[in-house]
Amino acid sequence: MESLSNILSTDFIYGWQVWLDDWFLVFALALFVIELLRYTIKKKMSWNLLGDSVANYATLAMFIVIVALIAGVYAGVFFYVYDNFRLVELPLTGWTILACIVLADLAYYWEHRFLHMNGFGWATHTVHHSSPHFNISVAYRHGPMDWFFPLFFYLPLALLGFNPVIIFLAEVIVQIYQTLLHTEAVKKLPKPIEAIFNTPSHHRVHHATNKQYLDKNYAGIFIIWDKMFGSFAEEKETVNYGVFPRINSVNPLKVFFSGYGKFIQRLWHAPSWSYRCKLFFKSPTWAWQQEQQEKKQ
Amino acid sequence: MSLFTSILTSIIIVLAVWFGVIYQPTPSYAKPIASSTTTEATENNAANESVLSQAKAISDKAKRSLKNQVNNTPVNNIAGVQQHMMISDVGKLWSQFDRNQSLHSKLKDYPSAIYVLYRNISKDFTNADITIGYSDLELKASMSITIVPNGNYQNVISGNELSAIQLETAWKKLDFNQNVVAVIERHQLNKSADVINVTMQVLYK
Repeated sequence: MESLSNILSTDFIYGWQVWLDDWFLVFALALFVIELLRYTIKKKMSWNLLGDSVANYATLAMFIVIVALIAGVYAGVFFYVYDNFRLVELPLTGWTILACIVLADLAYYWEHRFLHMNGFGWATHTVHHSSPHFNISVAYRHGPMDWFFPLFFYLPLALLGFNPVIIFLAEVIVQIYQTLLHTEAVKKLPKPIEAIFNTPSHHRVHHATNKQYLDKNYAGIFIIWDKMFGSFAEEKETVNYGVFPRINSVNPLKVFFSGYGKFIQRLWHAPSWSYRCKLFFKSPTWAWQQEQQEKKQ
Repeated sequence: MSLFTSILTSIIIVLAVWFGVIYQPTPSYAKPIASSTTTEATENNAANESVLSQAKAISDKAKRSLKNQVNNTPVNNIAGVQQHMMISDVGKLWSQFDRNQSLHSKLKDYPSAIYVLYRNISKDFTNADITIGYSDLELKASMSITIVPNGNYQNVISGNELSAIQLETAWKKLDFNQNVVAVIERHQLNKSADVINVTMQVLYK
């Protein structure tokens, strides 16, 4: 416990972040190969699954290009806020890192819930949900604006006095944890773990199109946020993955831009300006329901 | 739980965790500087005992004060990494220092400064024995230390945001007609271990 009070250097923390970021991708790729073998043994391997997986990594490549372009500005905003507006200066210790991970996870919960609750956010997040499969490659299925929204939810941590280097490390840890949840290979974990932590079972529910599972289990690491805020659902019925309307494509470009393509299309064909505004702020379910009603008429 | 209550609960959680981090356990230690107060108190008692002892105390104090004017060594001992190397390669030693977790983990509290000491400087000012580390008083466990040469250090450069290039250029300000015993940089840190001030001083023979 005493070691958690030791002062760490920013270089040391940044080194950890880079190491985790780089090597976890290699580890995840190895896990993906194992998953492919499992699919083959279970005779569930298909060309669609392979094509979808390639598309997932292609969206990752496109996302990396975007991140490379904006990374300096993104980090600069954090450092600017931290240097000029922080309320206190928190020491660089293990305790601070642990606390930052907990708060970053809570911030992630709200960001994730926000992305599901409005059309503009959903337009990028729908890319991640649009795969009809569920394996570790889906974790890397990114939308073009996935970098944008975290900024607003994690930035308050810099105001609270967390050094941006710690915030970025916490962001990476929350992301890495979630990546591991994208699998059908793990059914249920021991009850105490299922009670506190987000698990593959909880996350399968999140990716489901089953009615009772919609807009549930937003958690990153701790499922307790969902249980506390009333957005939790237990996996009982077999999960159907994907989104409505179905994307039905493994073309990486179509997958990557599908969300904003559909969003712009909806804005273009909107009957009024108030409807257009609602498309931004109302949930994607609302937009879908409106379209269904229109079709019936 | 409604959306409003959920957000309110989240704010309470954030504040609770935040206060927890602000008041996180840090190893406490008595600052060695505190001992000087004890010395002064003892001296005062002694001064009350007799005029003779009072005179002696004042005399000692004056001597010490006079000595301090001459001896302004910024730190007595440095514990850290050391190497004889090209002065221009000091960046490599900085990397070695940054990676030295066993050293950082021995800190009692937030370090107040990092020192860079140059000794046994070659005549052409290209090589030196370079030490980068903390004052040994800031470490909880004893480590091998480098003794900083005592004497009257003169300021070469001082500033809030001195770059590595500015520090390298500062070497040109040294009086090459005099024999340089040591050069020391003091990188003052805040609680996030960011450098807030850099001072470079030189000790001539």
